[in-house]
Amino acid sequence: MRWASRLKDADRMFLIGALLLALIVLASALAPILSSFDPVRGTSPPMRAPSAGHLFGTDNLGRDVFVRAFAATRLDMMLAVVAVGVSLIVGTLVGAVMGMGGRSKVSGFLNLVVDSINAFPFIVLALGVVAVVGPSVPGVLSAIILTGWARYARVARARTAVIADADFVNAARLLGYGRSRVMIRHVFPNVYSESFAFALSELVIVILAIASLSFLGAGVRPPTPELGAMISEGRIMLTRAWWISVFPGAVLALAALSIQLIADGYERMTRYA
Amino acid sequence: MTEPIITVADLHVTFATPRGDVPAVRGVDLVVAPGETVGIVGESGSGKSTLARAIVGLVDAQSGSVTVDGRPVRPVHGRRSRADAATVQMIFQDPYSSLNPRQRPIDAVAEAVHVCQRLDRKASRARAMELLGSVGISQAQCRMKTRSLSGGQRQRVSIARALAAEPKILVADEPTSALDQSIAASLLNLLRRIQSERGIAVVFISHDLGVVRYLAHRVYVMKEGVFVEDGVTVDVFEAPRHEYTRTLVSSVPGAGTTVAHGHAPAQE
Repeated sequence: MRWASRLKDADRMFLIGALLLALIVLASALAPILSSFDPVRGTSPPMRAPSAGHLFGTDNLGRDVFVRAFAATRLDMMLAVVAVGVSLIVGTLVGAVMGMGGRSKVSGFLNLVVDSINAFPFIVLALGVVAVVGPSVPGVLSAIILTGWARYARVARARTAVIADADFVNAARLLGYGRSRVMIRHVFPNVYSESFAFALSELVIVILAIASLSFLGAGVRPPTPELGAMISEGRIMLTRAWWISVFPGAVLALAALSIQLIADGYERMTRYA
Repeated sequence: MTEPIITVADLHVTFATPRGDVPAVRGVDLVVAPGETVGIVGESGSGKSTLARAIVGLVDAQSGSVTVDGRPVRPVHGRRSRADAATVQMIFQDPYSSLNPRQRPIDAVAEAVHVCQRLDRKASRARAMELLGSVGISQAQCRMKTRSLSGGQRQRVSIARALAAEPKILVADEPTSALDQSIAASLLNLLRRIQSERGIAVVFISHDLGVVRYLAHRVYVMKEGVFVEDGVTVDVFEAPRHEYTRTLVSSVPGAGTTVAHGHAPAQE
């Protein structure tokens, strides 16, 4: 009911984004299951241009680029959702503690940690983590989470400090509401809606970061299908077989665009009145 | 005078800033009788809002004491008892930050009833509906999103929420200064009605002399953190003794005679 009324006055850009994302999710869920082509083992003639049999053509090992691109999208999206979800929860809780904590020693220490992590360029720090953990799925996940949570903490810290000072929170305290009621019903709901909007816009950055790490060879390793790795592999054949890089790149761009449209729309719909 | 319900004795409040301590309230004595409306007037920065916050316990005193209903006021950062909540409540200046944007009016007031009166969910909502109705919020508005309410409506919801605790004292910190004049006038009538019907004491903070004259039985004039004059409202306005009060009264057109909306000045 609440969502229905929200959807009705949702803007057109949000709906376009949602539709586009639904198509991409559907394709990445179904393509690897329904298609007879294996995303890892090549069974077709290599380097074939797009045709009715192979919509996105085949790569240098005879693998169907369409199936591979959507298997890769599925992996990238799942990694991004897990990474953003964990960062969001950890970061927001830590940030809320810092925002409420005032000048205690704990929040002073947390502030130092958060500001140190945020001071580094994100991709450099992520590369460092991958160098330690190793180029693999757990490596990419830990790199994104370890560098990401601090950004949510910063957002939640600032927001919590503002909300904790708002008069409706003072009113709640004056009415004798318990500490946990004030936190859970009055402070937190006004913090997490903004954190969630921030997480949606971060999802775009994180998907691109996962692809970038793999593109740089510091992420998911071949032959596992991954968009950044695919773009990287096709790069040397760009003049002879453009489809090997261009289609995965287009899918990546469209996925990022759809999420960005949703994030912008969500922010417009829930903006603090 | 009967036993006062608020006694403020030699109150000092100081704010720590990077450039050193700034005194906001510098030695203030104030008494309020049960059921009395006391106005505190003064220019911006005179310390009147800080005094209001000290009375309810939102800011800590540097020295001196605030006694409310026979007990020292407790800082709100500790756990407040039901008795504390039923003693003093506050109406804030900014209607746009005094309501939780994630709560509808009915939910905000019902929550206050639930916590303060220990009623179950259904009874709390029924009581909240009554309270909201008594401050002039329609049934439809009770269920509207807070963000679609006007400033005047929000202040009415804040008043209903404060009344849910059935307080003996209401501290109103410039509740009308963000509203336009006709809305402000009807809100003042509401406060006056509540004060006389329920017999609660009201501490009304304002820089608007006309408003204070309309509402307050007695008035304190504040300047740079101290009271320069106090007395029965009519006396202070008709025959100000302090030079600062004379400046205030003479600088407001009509403040010495009538009030917006044609109401006669309070003279009971």
